[in-house]
Amino acid sequence: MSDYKKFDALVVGGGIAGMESSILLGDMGFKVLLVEKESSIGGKMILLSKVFPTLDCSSCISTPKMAATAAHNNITVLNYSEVEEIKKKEDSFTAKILKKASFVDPAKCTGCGQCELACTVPLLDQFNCDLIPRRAAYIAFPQAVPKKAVIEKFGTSPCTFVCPVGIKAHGLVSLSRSGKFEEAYLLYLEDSPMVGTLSRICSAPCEKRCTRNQLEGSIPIRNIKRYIADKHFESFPTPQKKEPKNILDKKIAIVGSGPSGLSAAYYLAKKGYKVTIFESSDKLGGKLQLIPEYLLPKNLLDRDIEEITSYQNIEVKLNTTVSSLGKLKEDGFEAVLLSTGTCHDKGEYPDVLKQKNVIDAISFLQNKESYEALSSKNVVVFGGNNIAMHCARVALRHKANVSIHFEKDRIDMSASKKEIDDAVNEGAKLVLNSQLDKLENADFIIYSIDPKPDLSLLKGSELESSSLKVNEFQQTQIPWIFACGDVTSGHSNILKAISTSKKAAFYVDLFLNNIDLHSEKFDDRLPAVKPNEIKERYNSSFPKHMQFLPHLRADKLSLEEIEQTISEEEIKKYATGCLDCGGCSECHQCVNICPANAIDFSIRPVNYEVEVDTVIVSTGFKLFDASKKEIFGFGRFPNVIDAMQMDRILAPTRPYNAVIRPSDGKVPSNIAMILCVGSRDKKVNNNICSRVCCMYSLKQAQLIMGALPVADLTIYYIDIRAFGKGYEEFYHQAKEMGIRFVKGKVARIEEDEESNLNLFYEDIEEDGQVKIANHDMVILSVGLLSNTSAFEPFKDLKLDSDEHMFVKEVDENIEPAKTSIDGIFVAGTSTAIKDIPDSVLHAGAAAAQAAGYISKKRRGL
Amino acid sequence: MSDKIGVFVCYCGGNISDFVDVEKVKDTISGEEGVAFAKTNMFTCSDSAQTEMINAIKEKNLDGIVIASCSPKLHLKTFQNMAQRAGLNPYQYTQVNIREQCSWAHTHNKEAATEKAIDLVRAGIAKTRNSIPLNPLRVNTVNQALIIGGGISGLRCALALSEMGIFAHVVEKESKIGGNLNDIGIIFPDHKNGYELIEELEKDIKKRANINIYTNAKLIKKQGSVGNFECDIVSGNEKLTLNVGSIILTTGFKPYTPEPNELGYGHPNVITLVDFKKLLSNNSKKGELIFNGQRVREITYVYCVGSRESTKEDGNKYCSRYCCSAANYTSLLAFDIDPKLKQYHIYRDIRTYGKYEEYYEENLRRGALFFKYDEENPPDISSKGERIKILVKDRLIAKDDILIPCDLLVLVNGMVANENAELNNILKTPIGKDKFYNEIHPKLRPVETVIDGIFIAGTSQGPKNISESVTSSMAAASKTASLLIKGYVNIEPTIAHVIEEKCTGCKLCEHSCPYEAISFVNKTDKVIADINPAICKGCGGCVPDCPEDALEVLGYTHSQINSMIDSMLLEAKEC
Amino acid sequence: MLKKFIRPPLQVIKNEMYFHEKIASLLKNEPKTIPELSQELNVPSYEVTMHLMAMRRYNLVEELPKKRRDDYYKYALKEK
Repeated sequence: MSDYKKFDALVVGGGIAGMESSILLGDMGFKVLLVEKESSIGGKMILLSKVFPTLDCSSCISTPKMAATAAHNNITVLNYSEVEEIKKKEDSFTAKILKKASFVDPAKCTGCGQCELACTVPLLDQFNCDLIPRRAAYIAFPQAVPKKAVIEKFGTSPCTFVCPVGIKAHGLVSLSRSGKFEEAYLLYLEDSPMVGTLSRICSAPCEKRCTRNQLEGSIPIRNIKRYIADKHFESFPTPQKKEPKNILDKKIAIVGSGPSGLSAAYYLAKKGYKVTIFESSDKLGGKLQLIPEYLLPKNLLDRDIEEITSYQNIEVKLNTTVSSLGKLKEDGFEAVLLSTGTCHDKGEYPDVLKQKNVIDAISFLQNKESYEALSSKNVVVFGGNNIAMHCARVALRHKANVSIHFEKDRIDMSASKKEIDDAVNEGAKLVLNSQLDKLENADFIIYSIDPKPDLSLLKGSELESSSLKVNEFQQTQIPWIFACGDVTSGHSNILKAISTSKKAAFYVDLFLNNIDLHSEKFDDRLPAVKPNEIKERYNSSFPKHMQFLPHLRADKLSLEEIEQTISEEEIKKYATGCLDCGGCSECHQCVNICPANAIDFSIRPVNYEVEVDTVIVSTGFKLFDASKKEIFGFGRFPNVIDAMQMDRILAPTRPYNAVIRPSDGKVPSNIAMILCVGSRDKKVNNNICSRVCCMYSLKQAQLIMGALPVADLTIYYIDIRAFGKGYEEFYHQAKEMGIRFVKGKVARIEEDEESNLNLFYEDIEEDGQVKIANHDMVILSVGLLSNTSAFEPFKDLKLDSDEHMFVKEVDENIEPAKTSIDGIFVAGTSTAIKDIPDSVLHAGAAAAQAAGYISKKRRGL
Repeated sequence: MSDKIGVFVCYCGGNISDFVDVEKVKDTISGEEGVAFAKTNMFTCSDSAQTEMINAIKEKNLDGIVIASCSPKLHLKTFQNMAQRAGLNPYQYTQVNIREQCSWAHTHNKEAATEKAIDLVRAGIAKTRNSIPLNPLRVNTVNQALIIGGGISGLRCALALSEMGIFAHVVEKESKIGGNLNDIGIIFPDHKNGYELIEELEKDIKKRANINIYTNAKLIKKQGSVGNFECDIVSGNEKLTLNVGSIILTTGFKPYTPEPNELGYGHPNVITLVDFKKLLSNNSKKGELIFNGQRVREITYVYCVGSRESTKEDGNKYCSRYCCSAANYTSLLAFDIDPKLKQYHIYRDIRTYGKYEEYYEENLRRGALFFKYDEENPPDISSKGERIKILVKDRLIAKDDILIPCDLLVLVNGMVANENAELNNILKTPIGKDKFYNEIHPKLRPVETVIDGIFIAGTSQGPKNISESVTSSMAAASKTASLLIKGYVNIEPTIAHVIEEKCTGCKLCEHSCPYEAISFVNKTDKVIADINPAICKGCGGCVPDCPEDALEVLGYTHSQINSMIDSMLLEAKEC
Repeated sequence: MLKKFIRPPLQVIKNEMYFHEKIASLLKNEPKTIPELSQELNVPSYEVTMHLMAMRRYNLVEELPKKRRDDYYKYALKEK
């Protein structure tokens, strides 16, 4: 929409009444804004098969109206938008409109539908009345106006949202569900390197937030990641050399090659910078090298590191200690990233430990030759962090008697619960509140304290101090020096290392392009979906799923990896448990495949405020939910469908290939139609008649007889209300086609073994007996109810409703379409259920009222 | 002439492709002379397909297009607009109907239907090849409207037009306005008296300067076409000529009068619903309903009198729509006067649709009894003095006979169209089988007629209640406003055309034009025929009358028609 | 009274992708009807209808023309 924020009329709802009044007002020369909540205008009418009494193809008569509305010079269509509030402002109205984020740029989208084919998240298709699924990325229907794709995203899925590194956990699961493992690996790499390593040692906050935790247990996201990594490494034992298209002529130095340094190198190299990694030891990987084989196989870590160094614009300098930051600047590095991690200073040990049989934990893990000596010895591991647990478990594997001592309580131990439990289960004794000088009977003592940040590099520079401080951009006091990882935070975990390095890389990039660091937001994701929303969507009944059973090596104390990768079949089965909490999973398959590059996940909802002289409310109606009439079995028996579903089955863009019944695809031969379901019925709070159901039932009956000439069709009715022009003749036409009419209400429906249905009804005309009829499909002619969302925008203004919750017409005999608010008019079924010709007429009346109102205003009365 | 033609063949979502091999049609005709581009579409009328066609026209510089899909009745205007948006003259676009005229007519022989479709498309291509650009005529419109019929529909329509700034003239044949509402009694849903509504409207009309009401008036002559009609009316003793842009017919209905002895009609205690309502509103005695000086205790209503007559020869087959609701409401009014009344309703179907269902419910609550009969077995009416006896085969008791006695029998009579013979002759308005005025399309164009500028509203279009009549009259006002407010209308250029060299001035065509559009003028050395473009409707009635073939309709010229015939018979020629 | 419950549609479609492959492999050799597929997959036929129609929507399967007297359509993999 352009900046033109003033319109003569606002029409809320783009169904047939909304379009008709818009076109009439547009033809009269008024500027109209038409707001429609779905992605396409057309309302309910475009979804129908044929219309009574002419049996015109519904699409054929609505599409020209839709095209005329969209092409009209005086009408602006705002689709996928909702009117949030309408307020009075002097003598006109202001409206607040929210255009929902569709994540597709409509200017570029051609409506080709490729994104829908590639999408991996199935959702129910509301345009096909939930008979078949669609995808999160979808085009409403083939005749959509405008025919542009939209992506349904309720928010960020909780698993994706909680990941500190921003990995799209939901995307990984949805891709695995579809068997697209290679694509999952590539999706992962978009956000983080080290797929293999993380698949082993990540603490998986995503699993803790998974909505399934409320049920039988979370989706095993980390194990799914394992499979993705293992599968990829099997097909690609060595990575391809990567060379980004535009290599920038800027050099960045990264000091330290632990997980944060390597990740930062990865992120910056991907952007095209020339990166040099300075590592003082002879191996890349930092503390990751310390992790024992039974958790993280070395060849996996090496392969992960190779993935990063396969970027041709990364230079690795091993055995190189950086002594002066100033020298780096002189050497041409425009920015420096400090990721030296932590180290331990033996000088910090308590005196009591300066004995010969005390080893510090890190040296222990580094020095593998010493392990043989541990056999049958008493080993005491003093400390409560993860490193201590690793030491204990390594010792156990070398047949030592291990006890873990900690000076305080278990709850003060910084090691993860899993690590402590595993260590204890493997045979380590846990001694709490222990004192170091009271240790007895220890052949070896392994001492583990939290290492401190390695600030040796800073000696002599302006940054020297006891701790390295960084601002929210991971920048130190010197603008061209950034820092990330343990060196800023102290001993933490790999997730924090990678997340801070991702942030640092983001801001280094901005810094080198002279962009103000405050101007761009690092984490601009949509807020997480709330558990209540997810519950509502599933109607509080979640599907049952299997609980995750990990595969573990039988010989727990083997030196090789404990956890085993599970099979592909099992992975897919586990992945089907995903509830798709956020809707779109951001698996990016649509982004990759879109030929017009139209998909943009940075699009956000936009708020518009417009000033209008008059408003026409044409929000339409809602169908009665047939599951409220439990006796008919809608929702329990698959072959009991409602009339809208039947109309869809008959429509040209039908969900099925022909008129077949949902339970097993059989062509029905004995169909029943029950009228007045949800209307003329006090039990469901709707005592009035829905006007159109008799006629649409006769129409559907004729169409079914045309499609299935040998079928029998019976209509169970109370009255046949064929009152309009040509309707009585239509009724006759139906009788002549051989449709059987039975006057009598149906008491209940039961299902037999072949999914056929037994109807218990009272045959009033014959002999008044209660009879049972067997049919293979039943269509419930559901009533039409008011759409109460019509009242939502009128918070301060009071829009009156009548006893049936429709928008009230103040004087239907003299002033049709006039509401209780001056200047606000109503058109179509928003005020009372009516058929299409009456809706069109009523829209004409509303347009006359609106035009008269505006003209009067302009004449100054 | 077009030599770069684009052909678009439609699947119509299966409506065509189920019975015609659309791809084969496209492949076969792409080799035709002049065809530069051919394509199929699932729904040619959809927005995306239209956008594609516009791009194709622009990119490939097409100078003519053929769309083979459904009847031009549906999308001719849509595609003409589309062509215009693409910069192509809309009259170099031809619509070929391969649905109603091919796929839907030959559902059992796909091969033959495909061959026929190919012939039809070939003819369309030939027509387009011989087409020339035409431009619509612009006629200035008059910002005034003529409303014929001063009942509630006509009056409300006048008010709506006046509000939008259009001058409204209301012509009423009776001596006072108000029509049927003047003595209709109490009406639903507001419990007001019918004439009160008329009084309200009259008050508002008197305040306005741009509404003129003529009573004792009728239309005697009409000339001109949409946007600019010249209408002669006679009002009392005055004769006036009104210059209006559109004419709205709100001539209303008349209640059905039962034949003598039809369901006992003729007996003093058998009256119609219309008369019964008058009785109720004039009833002065509290607590008692008095008829002919006597207290009424039992009333029977027989529904569907004069409506839904499918077995009667030349009967009214339609349903009169408003009577079930009116009868139920009237029954409640009767209960209001005397709650002890016994009321019996003998019906075929109770059609109290929508909110009016509540009147039916309330009647049941207050103790009215309902008996269902079917058309083949109507109730048998007999009388004994003033008591009426009704014998009905009640379907709800297995068609057993039940005898219902009553003091008053009310025949719920339906609506019948007013004859308006003179008016219809002048305007040539189309009339449907049910004798009400016929609209172009019942779903999407319920107030328009095939005659541009003439609209129909209210009960003249079909039976409806007051609210629905007023709604439709306001819709007619809307349509009029959208037509006239611009100040001009574009007239179709597909009108008759005189080939001057051939015309000999024989004047044989003069009487073949029903619209009197042909006159004769002097041209250089001879007298030739001359067509008035504002009046000519392009019906082509004059074309065969000319012995020299000097008349043709633009857009359907001789060369175009001949080339179409030639191309359709291509295979036959080759034999 | 038989009180059967079918899984709500929203739950059924979560399995959709999982069943695409399985259905495709069953249809590779010969076209099948929905009851046949349901039996071989051991899944309620109502769910098979949903999955199969989704595959049809996305051009993975198509129905074969059937004789008038047959009650069920046979579905086959669609050639790319």
